[in-house]
Amino acid sequence: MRGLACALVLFASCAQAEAPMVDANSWLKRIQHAAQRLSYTGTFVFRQGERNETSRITRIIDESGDHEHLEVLDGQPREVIRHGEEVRCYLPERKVILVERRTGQRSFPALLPTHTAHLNELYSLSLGESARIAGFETQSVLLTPKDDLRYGYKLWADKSTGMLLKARILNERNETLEEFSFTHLRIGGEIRRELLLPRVAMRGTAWHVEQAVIKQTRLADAGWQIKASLPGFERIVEVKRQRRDAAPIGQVVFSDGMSAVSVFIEPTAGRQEALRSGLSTMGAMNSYTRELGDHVITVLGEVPIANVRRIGNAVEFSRQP
Amino acid sequence: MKPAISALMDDGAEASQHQVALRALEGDPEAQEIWARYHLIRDAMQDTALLSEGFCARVSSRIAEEPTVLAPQPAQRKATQPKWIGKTMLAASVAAAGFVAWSILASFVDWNRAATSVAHAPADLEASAVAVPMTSAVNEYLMAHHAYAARGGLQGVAPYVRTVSTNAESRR
Repeated sequence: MRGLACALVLFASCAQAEAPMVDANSWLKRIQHAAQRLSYTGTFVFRQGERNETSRITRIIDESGDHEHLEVLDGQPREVIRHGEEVRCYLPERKVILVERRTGQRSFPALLPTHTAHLNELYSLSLGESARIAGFETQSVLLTPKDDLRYGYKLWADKSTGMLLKARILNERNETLEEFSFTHLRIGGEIRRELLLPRVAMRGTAWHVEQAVIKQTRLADAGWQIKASLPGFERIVEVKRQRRDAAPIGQVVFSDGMSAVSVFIEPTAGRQEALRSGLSTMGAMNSYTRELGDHVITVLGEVPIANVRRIGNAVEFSRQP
Repeated sequence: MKPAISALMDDGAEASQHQVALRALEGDPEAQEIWARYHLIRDAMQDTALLSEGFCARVSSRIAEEPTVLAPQPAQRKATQPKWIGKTMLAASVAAAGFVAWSILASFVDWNRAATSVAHAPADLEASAVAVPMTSAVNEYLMAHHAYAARGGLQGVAPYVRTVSTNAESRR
């Protein structure tokens, strides 16, 4: 009799493991898959402390590629338009368009963690409650970090498509640092291509286009080392970026699949606006700046403040033999 | 005793002589008095602005209250310090304010403007130890970061909303 009970329990647990969409890991895969293939248009609210901003976002994937348009609707107008690898940031206040073409060892969307399996080692994954968000039935997924190198996440995904409806970044006390949440969303169907065009008035005053030239590089060849042990973080890109006649800036990006952190190395003489040394913070984004010889080192990312400082202090320069 | 103290001030004696002078300055009120007087004389000769009474004690107590310095200070600030300060001020510290306090201070204060610089020192220290709100100076870095920082499902352009709004800055 006991044997039968055990067999039943075993059977039940196996059945559960095989059932679709029951575990957090499958939900993460589904969210990623949806983010890569869905076209949509909608409005989301970004909350960061007392800051509360509404933005409109449109994403169209068709035979010509992958296109996105983000327009910040509150306060100072800002727009970002991405066509494939080219990103243009429109800053109407300064009449500037910042243009850059992403490059790297892994280009978008292959940049995404293609396997979510290793996230299990870095975060405890669990399923949370179901909730209704912007008219969609969603399932929530929790990622609780296993160490102090990263923040926690709570994600809400549409049950039928896997589309991410809401995302929250949490600190070690489970307090919300940032939240993205759709208030209105339309997935698929006919999405007008005009929605991809910049909304700012381009006529009248002359706009200034600042193009950044980005090249892959190896900062180690120039004598720079980052001697920090960063379990779970992988070096995903290492580039040299340069705007017009400005000095080139080195950038190394580390990512664990959820959280990312960039290290910038810039000659002090090249900066127009001085960066304040020390720690600074904005929601889940933390940064640490220090001077090293005639360079400014800035570590910036959505990781805890102790981590950006640790990485910043691990940057070393040694002359080539 | 006087020649030993004088030599210590000018760094003109043997190390063993220094030890004698330093020991005397530690415990002997008379030696401390000589030390203070010699400095007063030299300050007058070099036209150095006098520090107000109890200056050293105030600096020591302020430093004791400061948070730990976590970031190194910019290297070039040391260059503004006149050469002779390193020696004599370090020696003066033994008697007056304590070695550690002075050497920290000497590393970032332009001593010719010591009295005013000390007033700004706490802010400098705090900037290194406490996180402050980001300023728009980092906006270019934020954009460069978002270009590569893939996020779980939000890896598109949505993270670009995280720039420092200059409106928000001016409100602060």
